[in-house]
Amino acid sequence: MKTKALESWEKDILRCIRCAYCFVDCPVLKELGWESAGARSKIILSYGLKEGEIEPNQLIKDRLFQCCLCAQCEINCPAKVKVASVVRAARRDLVEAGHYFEAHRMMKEMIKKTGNLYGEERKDFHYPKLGAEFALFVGCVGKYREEESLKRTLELLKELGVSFTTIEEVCCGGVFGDVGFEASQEDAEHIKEEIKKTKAKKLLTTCPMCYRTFKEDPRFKDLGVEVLHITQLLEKLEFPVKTERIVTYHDPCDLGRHSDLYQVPRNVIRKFAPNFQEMVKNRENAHCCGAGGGVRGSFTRLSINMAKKRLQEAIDTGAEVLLTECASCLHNFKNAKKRKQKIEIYNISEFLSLLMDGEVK
Amino acid sequence: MLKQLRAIVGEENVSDDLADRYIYGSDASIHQSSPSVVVRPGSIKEIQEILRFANREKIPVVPRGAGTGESGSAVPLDGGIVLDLKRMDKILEIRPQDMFCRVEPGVINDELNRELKPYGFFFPPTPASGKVCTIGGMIANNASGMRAIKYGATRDAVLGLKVVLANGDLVRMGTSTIIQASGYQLERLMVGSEGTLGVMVEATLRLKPLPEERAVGRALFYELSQAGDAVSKIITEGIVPSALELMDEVAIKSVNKALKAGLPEVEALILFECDGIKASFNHEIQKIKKICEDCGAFDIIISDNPEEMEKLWEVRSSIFPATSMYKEDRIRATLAEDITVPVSRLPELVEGIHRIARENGIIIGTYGHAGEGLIHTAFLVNPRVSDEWDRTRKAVDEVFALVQHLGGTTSGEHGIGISKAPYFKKERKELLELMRGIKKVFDPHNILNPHKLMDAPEDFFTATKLRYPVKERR
Ligand SMILES: Cc1cc2nc3c(=O)[nH]c(=O)nc-3n(C[C@H](O)[C@H](O)[C@H](O)COP(=O)(O)OP(=O)(O)OC[C@H]3O[C@@H](n4cnc5c(N)ncnc54)[C@H](O)[C@@H]3O)c2cc1C
Repeated sequence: MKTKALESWEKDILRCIRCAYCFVDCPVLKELGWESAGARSKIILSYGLKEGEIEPNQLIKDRLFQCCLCAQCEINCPAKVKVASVVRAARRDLVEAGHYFEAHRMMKEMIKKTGNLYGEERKDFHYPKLGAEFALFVGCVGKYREEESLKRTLELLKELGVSFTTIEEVCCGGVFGDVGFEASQEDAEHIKEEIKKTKAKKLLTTCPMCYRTFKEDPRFKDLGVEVLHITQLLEKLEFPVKTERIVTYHDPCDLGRHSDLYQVPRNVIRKFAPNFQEMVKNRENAHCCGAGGGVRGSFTRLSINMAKKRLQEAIDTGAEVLLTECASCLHNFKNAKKRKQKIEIYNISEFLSLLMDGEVK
Repeated sequence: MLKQLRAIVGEENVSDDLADRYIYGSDASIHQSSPSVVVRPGSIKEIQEILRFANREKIPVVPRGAGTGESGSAVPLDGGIVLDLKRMDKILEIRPQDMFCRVEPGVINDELNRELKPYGFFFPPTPASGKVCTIGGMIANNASGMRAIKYGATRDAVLGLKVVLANGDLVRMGTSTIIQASGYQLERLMVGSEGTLGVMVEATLRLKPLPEERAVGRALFYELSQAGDAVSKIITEGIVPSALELMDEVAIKSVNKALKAGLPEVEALILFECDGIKASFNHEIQKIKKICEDCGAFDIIISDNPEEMEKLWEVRSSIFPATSMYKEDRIRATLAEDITVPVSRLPELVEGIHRIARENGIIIGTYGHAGEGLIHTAFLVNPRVSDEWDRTRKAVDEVFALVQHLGGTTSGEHGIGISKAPYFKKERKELLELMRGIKKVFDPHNILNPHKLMDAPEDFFTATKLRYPVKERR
């Protein structure tokens, strides 16, 4: 197999000393047990493919795609190997050689047809406003999978008097780099054009993956506006409400490990929830919810099992409410939750809106 | 073979897929050699059945823990079955009143210690790989770590074992008592056996009370020889620190790169720790400080603040992987690694290694458990250049010759495996036949991790494929 993408990661691949420190807290390894599922093995498989010692087969492909790209391994790696980037490159080469997952290819097609990952009939949340301070980008998962939660987020922004305008969205394409495909330049141009039209100076994102994509993806290098995640905006605002309930917080990987926003969401929560309880694994050591890296699409059961474990960790804190600020995490947790589990799960912004309307305590 | 194995452990616990065979063909060493099949047993009974089958069919079986061994002891030279024991990870019993615990072989060192903590006890060997390595692998390699100077190595903690022999029989070795004088101490023979004599399926381990308090210190030296002298003097004074570690310039620079540790980049530093009750160890710490000062140390830090102590130690436990960040085009190849000499010979050893590196035009970092006379060698190699490997091999030969000249031993804690076997065979020349005889009694068909230790290939470098893209190989 040709390994063009992996070539540029050779230094990282060789720097891996195979110490296996990355086995610690690798959520996929915890689920599957086989060493070949762990982070170290993904580097070894990448090495094998690159050097032509192995050729792709179904399990090699599966193993390289059974990774949420949560980057816990990068935190644990003392040689600072960019494991997630190597895995992305391996996926790129696999896809290039025709070893892709149908679910991922479908996403590409769906976006072409409908502008969203799920191929659902286009929904537009219309809050157009001329001269708004923020252009708002809500992302596919929120809009098409966590609509109620997203509506609440928008309600909150309105109630807090935030000046924002929606745009005609197409998918930001962030997920494609994760699953080995190339993201669409055309879509990026459309988004940039839409943002330009609003004349807003700042782009506000609700989804951590979109946030990261706008910040890091070379297609958006010339975006020309400041990109903010909603928690960064909320941190600057005051809320007229409080909850006395015990609240915990789950760090989304794209917000925490990938964007270094650990304290910001906690500062927001502190403003309205004095009874805050950290999970044992938090911040850079927060276990992944299992939704990322294309795993939910191609290995649904694996993904849900990871979410179940993380949810249990939230419950173990004694919290009544689990907060996060990521539609993907939220969605996975809700799918993982058993009816008898009493914990309530919300995005921070959603919870705040409900609190302000007196719909939760 | 697959059919029989699946019948024993279930379909989901057997794999002969290329992905698994490739992965289970390597550990943290330089070697790569794939098994035919990987099996993940979940019980003693299953292990017995697997061995009965393998013994009958004369199929090699290589037990495996976390695969963190650095000399290829878990790499299956002859293919066959790799027995991944990580599913057997239960702590069976903790008995502080009897000072022991009973565990399955796949229990991870740090997880055991986490469970022991509330009882006020701990399992003393402290390998830097403790967050991942398994008790089975630790016993098989006689792992130890920086606290061995005071608390001993894994061998000192093994009271009893349950072992499945090559023919599938389950035997109990040793006792659940702190002392025993009941004949051959076969449990001790299993220590360091590297999977060649039997599969350990349960261990009874001696615990030590957790010291109430501790303090950690760090001293910097402009010259490596000054640090070596300080170590010798500390030991000669009769002080028993709970750790006494040395790092050279290469090690210091590497952790600075990996951890942004911000250490002053001098020729050497030593880290020391004393534990017990503050009133008594304060005196020792001050004595160590004085010795360091007399030997020319500067900028000595001493702390008993938990966070600061952890920071000081983090530097140490990260050196191994961090050394692969020392220079852009170099990686850390696990060679020599854990040579050990009588403590008084340490300065000669360290200086000798640096001389060998210079003479061969390569980079070797040194650091290690100085208080035990153990030095880790970080060979930093450009893996693509075959000439560099040639010089490296020559340096490895010379380092081991030096160790033997100084009255030391080939391996202090990582075991022999493949990479160190040629030197081990030189060191233990007159014992090789005796060892082969023992192996024959335990494993007449030579199925358990064959061709390791005394039976390993003469040239470690050509014994397996290397896990590096070396261009030409002799
Ligand atoms: C970064 C790093 C740091 C390290 N630091 C140290 C250190 O400070 N001190 C130290 O001593 N070592 C250290 N090591 C080496 C290694 O971690 C130890 O030797 C460890 O004990 C190996 O355990 P494992 O579970 O990974 O065993 P493996 O590597 O899987 O196996 C090692 C040997 O044990 C045998 N084996 C495993 N389980 C069983 C069983 N149940 N029955 C019979 N045989 C068995 C295998 O066949 C093999 O021969 C380090 C390694 C790395 C990568």
